[in-house]
Amino acid sequence: MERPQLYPNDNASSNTILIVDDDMINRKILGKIFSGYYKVEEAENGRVGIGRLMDGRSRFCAILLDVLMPEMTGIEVLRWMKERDLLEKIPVFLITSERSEDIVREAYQLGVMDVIQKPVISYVILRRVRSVIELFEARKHLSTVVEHQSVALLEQAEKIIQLNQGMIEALATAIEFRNEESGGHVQRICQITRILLEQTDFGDGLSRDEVENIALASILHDVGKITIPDSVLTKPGRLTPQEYEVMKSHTTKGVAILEHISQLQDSGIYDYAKDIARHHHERWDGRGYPDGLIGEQISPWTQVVSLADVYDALSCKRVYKAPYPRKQVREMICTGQCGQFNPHLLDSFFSVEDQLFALYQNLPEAQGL
Amino acid sequence: MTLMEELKSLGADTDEGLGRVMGDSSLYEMMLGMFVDAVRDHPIALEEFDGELGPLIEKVHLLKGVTGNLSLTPVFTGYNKALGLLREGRGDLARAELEQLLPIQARMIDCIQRNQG
Repeated sequence: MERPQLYPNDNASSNTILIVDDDMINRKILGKIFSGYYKVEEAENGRVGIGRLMDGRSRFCAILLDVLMPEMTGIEVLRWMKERDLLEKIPVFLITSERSEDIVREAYQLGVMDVIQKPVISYVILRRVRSVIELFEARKHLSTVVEHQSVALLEQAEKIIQLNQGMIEALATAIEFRNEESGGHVQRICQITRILLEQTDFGDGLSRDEVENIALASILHDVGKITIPDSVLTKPGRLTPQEYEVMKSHTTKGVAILEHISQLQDSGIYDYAKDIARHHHERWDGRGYPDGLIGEQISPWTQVVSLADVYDALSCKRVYKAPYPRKQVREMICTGQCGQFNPHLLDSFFSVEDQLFALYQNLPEAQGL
Repeated sequence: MTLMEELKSLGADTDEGLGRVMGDSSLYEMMLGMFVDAVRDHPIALEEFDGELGPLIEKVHLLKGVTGNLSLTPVFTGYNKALGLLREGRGDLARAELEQLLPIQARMIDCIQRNQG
């Protein structure tokens, strides 16, 4: 008869059958039946059998197990294997002349693959055992393939996410540079947003994925500034009322730009990005723009980005001002000199402000350089 | 008469026994020798049926397995019945079964020993 190709006789494959039986004749018979197809190891009782497993179970493709044996019975071996989840990995066949229903039931409950009556019929046991071994090998092979494919897919997805994030950051940074800023502003807004939503109760109810999407969306809060003329965007002095109106339009124009990026519309950041771009200059007391939203009408994530934007603007040098000292920044935010913020948000903000301040240490634009 | 033919004449199903070892007659004959050793190493005295049955059950169980594997049918059938009776605690009936099988077993052992030298 032809040897099965699935189990070449090399050490890399599980191609050994372990026969555990106290009766040498039984071991010889089973060994004879299977030795043409597999390597065979013998154990004269359950304890010796377990010793073989502990030496290295990976070589075994099946175990043929007697029930009544000295030292350790077949059922005790099954219990030992079950405790270690080995019955999921190696198919075990109970080879028994016992007809006790209790034993058979317990064996199946423990997870034995099949119960074969002694005296065995060679072609029957050969077919039953080989079929299960092939099934296990196929399942193992399939699991390995699926695992490798999953890893490859995850790596690809990660690359795509990183690429998308990189493009969004590149776009936002380009806008920052137009604004004669370093590009670090958007990164810090992203960090501050993440800290406030992850580490304070202001982010309660948001999942980890939602927080990540909001943090990424915050990078695009000023995307509309790309439409603002340099004469207004980089003007060092005070803006005229007309110029201020132009500057304010970056919120609504930002939304229009985002709506034209079709690839973004399937992304989890799209709705957050539009909301934040339009409303990050709204204020808690309704004195913001463009829609004059009041209080809870402003989404919590937009409130967070608004505060992060103000905190960063006050802490860093801009074309029209030097950075304010930390104490003054805290006071200006607390007293609403840059617009009113949600009191709950302010509590959350001050609870992590030490951590936020650390982002600005050793930062040239925070030292006024 | 060959060993196989003689065993057949005593009621053994040697074709089935050989089939169990994939037709390997030398292995089958080697196992016949192991059967002789097993009977010698696990002698059953009729007095044992009157005492504690546990050790007796172990011996009968073993010999039942050996004879079943070799398809020494009349002996296997006797051991199988005796084992069932012993497990039910009916030692007297089990002894009667054993008394019936022992002469056939003795003839089979004689046959094997003569042929295997």
